[in-house]
Amino acid sequence: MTLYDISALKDKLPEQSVLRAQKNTIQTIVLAGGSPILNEHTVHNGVGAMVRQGEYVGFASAPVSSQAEVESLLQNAEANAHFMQGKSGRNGRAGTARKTICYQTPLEERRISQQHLMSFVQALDRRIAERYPGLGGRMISLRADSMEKHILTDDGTDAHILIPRCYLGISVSVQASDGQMVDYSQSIGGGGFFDEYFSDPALLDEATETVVAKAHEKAGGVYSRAGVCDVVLANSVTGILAHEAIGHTTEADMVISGSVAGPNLGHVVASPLISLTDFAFEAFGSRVPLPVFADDEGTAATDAVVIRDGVLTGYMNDLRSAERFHMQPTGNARAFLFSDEPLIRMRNTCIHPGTSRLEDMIAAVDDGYLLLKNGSGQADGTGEFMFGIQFGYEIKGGKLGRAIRDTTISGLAFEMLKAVDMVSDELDWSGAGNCGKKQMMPVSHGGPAIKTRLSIGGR
Amino acid sequence: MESIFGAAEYALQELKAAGAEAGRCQLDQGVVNEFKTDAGELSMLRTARHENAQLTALVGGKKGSALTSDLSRDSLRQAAARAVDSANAAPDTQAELGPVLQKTFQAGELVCNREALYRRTQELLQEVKERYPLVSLNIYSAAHRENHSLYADSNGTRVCYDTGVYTLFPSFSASQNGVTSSFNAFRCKMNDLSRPFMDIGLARMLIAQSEKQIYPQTFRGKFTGQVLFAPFCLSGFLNSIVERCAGDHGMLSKTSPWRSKLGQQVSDAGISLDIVPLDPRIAAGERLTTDGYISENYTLIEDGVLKCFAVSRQGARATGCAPAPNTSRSLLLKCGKYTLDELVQGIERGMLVTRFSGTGPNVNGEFSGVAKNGFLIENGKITDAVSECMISGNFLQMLA
Repeated sequence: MTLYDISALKDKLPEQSVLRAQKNTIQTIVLAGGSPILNEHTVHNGVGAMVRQGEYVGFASAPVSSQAEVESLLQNAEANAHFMQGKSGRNGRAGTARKTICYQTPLEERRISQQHLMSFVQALDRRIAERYPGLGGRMISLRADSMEKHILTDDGTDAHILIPRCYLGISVSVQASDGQMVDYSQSIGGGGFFDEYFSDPALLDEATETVVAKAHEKAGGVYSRAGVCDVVLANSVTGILAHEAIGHTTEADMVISGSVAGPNLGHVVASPLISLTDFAFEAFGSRVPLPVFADDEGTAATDAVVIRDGVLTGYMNDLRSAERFHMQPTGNARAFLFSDEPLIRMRNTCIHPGTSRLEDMIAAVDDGYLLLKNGSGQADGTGEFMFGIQFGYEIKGGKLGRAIRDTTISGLAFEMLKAVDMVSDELDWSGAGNCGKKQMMPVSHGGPAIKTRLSIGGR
Repeated sequence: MESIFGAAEYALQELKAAGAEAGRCQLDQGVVNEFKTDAGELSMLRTARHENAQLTALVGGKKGSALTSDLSRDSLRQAAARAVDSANAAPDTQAELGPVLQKTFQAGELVCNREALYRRTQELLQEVKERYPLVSLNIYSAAHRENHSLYADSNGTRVCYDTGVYTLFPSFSASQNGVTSSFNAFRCKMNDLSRPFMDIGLARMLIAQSEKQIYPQTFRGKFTGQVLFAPFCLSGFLNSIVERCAGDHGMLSKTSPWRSKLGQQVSDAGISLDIVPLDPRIAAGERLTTDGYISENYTLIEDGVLKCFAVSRQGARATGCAPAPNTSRSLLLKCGKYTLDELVQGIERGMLVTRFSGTGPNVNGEFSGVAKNGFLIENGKITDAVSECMISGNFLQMLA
């Protein structure tokens, strides 16, 4: 099933309209203790039309099979916008200026059979079961997804985009001496197709060994002490901090709703060591994990510089918010499925690397924690954030101590950023995540290790 | 556009042609009408016509599924091939079709009353503006979902379920002099629009609380005290525990601490937890399990005793326990004998937690995170709103 071809409508679009054909393919396999919990191959394929009239938007979508149906969608979207305008009687603002783009993805969809994926996952599961018979539990999950879009706008954008990802999760549980089940998981993969990362399950032996070893180390670990303390957040953790703690508060729709970023534009919100950008497709000379060249309003994607040298300099915008804040639209309007309307979403959100070495940062902590692996997180408009920590170590007198079990960290984003006094020179990216703001959305985040002070949960 | 009835026959035929020994399909067709706000004003109307088909192929005892978002013959044929491909690769779980059924169900208002939905949404926005002037309300979604569902299998089962439900998903915060409260939000599902949105569930209480949360006290120090979880917050904890301790996740991975506790006390005798998709208070609840059996309400925990597990038929086959009578998570914790005021009065020092932002409870029951939109309880009274307050504990021990 291919993306519906909307090219014939390129020159027939009504004023201030966007037409988007989109196909999402999601292959998911989950084995728990060798039994399949999920074995699914999903395709969402259809067309969405969006028409703006003044400050009102009409949207209509459907799976389609003919040009007449697509034309009907455009008419429905116009009628919906008209319904909204008719209710209020207001004419609203005019549209904002933006850059359009013509782009053709160099990638081609690769079809990998579910049977091939399942065979790989089962072989890996068997290897783990045979090599580690004493595990309390094991779970293998594989998700290969891709998002293909063709976006046309009345003002000239014609963008064909394909973003594939593939991630394999290995999770094991072991029983600790206190009877508690302790688990550790690791995600492997990245932007791209399955066969770019995986070929032979035996090649994952080293990764599996690490997962099992960490689970045992964690089982022998301690609970963190609850309270405010010095921490070094490893580069793998800083990315989610960039997303949850800062990113969400600077999405322009959150600013409009009253987030803490509103009154702080142009103010110092972080240590001068901190710069943060939501990158569109390249960062520091390299391609980011989830490159976005055009957003779903047809705006050419550009980097959204959020914090520069500690000063809050901008927000992530769609067309409407850019107009409201007199900023340039950055191409952050993204929709998950063809049936979804674009929302302001992050893309590749990253704290910039600094100059310190991780060893020196650990040595600078007298009594605190090195936090190495994050779980999921959440943020608030006030800047209050939390996220889970799956693994880390105590730091005593500048040296690593015992492993710690699952805990949670929290703080106020800008206060925590102001307390940063060291930033490492090594950057780490992750593109495995999905952000859940009304719709799911693949996002990536990255960062260096940072040394700061925040609240940690525990006993 | 193919009807779901014609599409089902074609899908079953294609499953067989692709190599399935037996097959089933769940087909959905309908439309969503949704309003949403921008900067507190209604600004968008979205109409999304949807079609979905989930095809399941059985090859021997092996099962594989494929989903597609349109009911065209091309899509169904390809989905059938993918489902058989998945089944061929799957391990043998002795998967089988359910009993032969011929049933029709209906729930809610099938056709969207768009004008009434618009009016109810405007009414909510207006009331908040007038009665809670410090509150900024954002409607992510005020919607109606019309859905026609058909479950069919190669043994002749045909079960139709037509539903029309209204849903509401607002978020809100309050601000004054550049200071903003924590965000709060809720989701609810309704069979009709007979009641103003403000009167649904705890909507009024949560929105009103926002104004009291603009200037929270930053919590310092730590203490062990009692926690009063509001229903919205508690349901998240209960869902997690049900899945990890009694559901497929915990039972199949053998990590459930309840896996050998059937018929035993797993919580305080004051706790009774039912799973009730047929309860009239559940809008368009489950009528057919994911395995193809008619759903029935059941009791998971009665007076603290674990009565059964919340596992699917596949989970039951793999673990040797009885399958649950439904596969929903429509949880109903039975009311106790105290009013909210009496509960508060009984707490010397503790917290009222209306939202929890954190991790867990994990399989051991451990959780830690931030108590959001919370209030301190001191000497039997709700006092200050608090921020930056982490809570941690063991939910299984708390239930006990």
